Amino acid sequence: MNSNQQQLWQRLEGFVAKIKQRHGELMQEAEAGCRQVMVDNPTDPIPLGNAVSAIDRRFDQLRRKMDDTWSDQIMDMFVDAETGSGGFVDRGIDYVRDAEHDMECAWARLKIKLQADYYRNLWPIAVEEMKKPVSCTNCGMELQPPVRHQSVNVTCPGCNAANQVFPHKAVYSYYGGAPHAFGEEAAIEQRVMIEKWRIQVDRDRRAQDWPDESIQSLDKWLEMEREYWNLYGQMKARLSSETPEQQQAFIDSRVKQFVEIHLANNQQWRRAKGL
Amino acid sequence: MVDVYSAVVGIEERLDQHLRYVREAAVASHPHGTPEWDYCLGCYRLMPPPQQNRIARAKELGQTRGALPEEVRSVFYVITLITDGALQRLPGLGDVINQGHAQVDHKARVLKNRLVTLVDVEGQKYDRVVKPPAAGGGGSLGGIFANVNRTAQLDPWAHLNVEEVQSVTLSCVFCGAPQQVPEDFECAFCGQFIFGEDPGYDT
Repeated sequence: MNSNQQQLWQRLEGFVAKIKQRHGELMQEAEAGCRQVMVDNPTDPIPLGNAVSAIDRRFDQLRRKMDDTWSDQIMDMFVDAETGSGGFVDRGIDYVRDAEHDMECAWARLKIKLQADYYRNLWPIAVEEMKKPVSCTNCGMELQPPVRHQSVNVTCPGCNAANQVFPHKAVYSYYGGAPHAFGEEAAIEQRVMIEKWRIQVDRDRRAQDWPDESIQSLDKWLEMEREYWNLYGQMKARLSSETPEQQQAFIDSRVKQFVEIHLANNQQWRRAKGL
Repeated sequence: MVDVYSAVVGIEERLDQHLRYVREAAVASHPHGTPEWDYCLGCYRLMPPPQQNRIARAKELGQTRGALPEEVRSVFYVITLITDGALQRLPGLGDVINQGHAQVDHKARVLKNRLVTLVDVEGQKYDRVVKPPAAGGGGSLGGIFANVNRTAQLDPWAHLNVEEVQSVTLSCVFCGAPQQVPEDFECAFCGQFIFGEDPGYDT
């Protein structure tokens, strides 16, 4: 880099460092606030969900601020400072994009951990609720439901009345949300790896003036996505008592969706697969 | 082409100078107004509002420092008009763009785009400096958690006095006998439809 480029680069680093610092401060505040929400609302997942959604938007604003400042104010200076050999602007674009992606991943990891921790905290409450006896509403005799985590019909052994027995709020909240929360937690690092790899694929293509992505690369992407859904699906199945066939059907449905969105419109890929 | 590009850069620099001046004057001012802030308004051909309006508005906002946000936004609006006018009057800009000079075109386009959102963007920046933080806790996310805690208290079923039960048995409205078989709504004792009115569903 020449001296002008070095100056610009230092300014860019300084700007991105400030954004990252602000992001770090918000992350700490977000974690502390969300954990307090969990304490204040131990059996209701909605407040935590609301907080996470609102914080999502705040982080989005911060990332957009960085992106807009780069696009509207800084990139022009990089363009003006570009030399014959090129690459300075691309380097700046990549630096900003990497910073954005690091911040996205950090928040994604935190919010998934928070939501998984919520259900970990909820589990002992749910267990206690499932242990509580339930009685026939007609004659008061204690019932023995076969399961306590789902609604079931139980015939009273005393008066033959058909009782519909419901799980307690803590129980249905747990079983309603924990499979997804723990599934995401089990698979998040795979998601981060896939996104980093996709960014690198685009950079490699840019360096070669944007040839079509190879079939091998697309197939690798498909396998990585399949692995993501395997990790997610296996964890989810453990908590939701799915059969192996149901688990596989779920994974196949998600992979099929991925193919339809990302691969099925690629004519080269379709020809290679004989479609 | 170089002259036109430099002229566009110059217009942008003057825009930044205007914004800097207005921001500093506004932050140093008071919601009830100061002579310096009123002078700044005068520079942009704006009249200060009546004093009693400023006092009432400051109380409404709970603002204790800086000029009122709407006054500041009015000045930002005038600045966008000034800058846009300067761009429009720039000799040779249209010709240079028509000749395909991408750098000038890009520069002018970025500046024009900036003007479109300038009042909102600069206004929000100013708000963050002078407006008091939301009640319910310090920090930028305090407002979020205050809102979450407030809405968590809301219970849409409270007025119905709904009691959470663990089990329910359906009873015949005619004889009071409990349902004997799930999903069978013919009373095992009196033979009537247990809800009292047969909907006539096909069985």
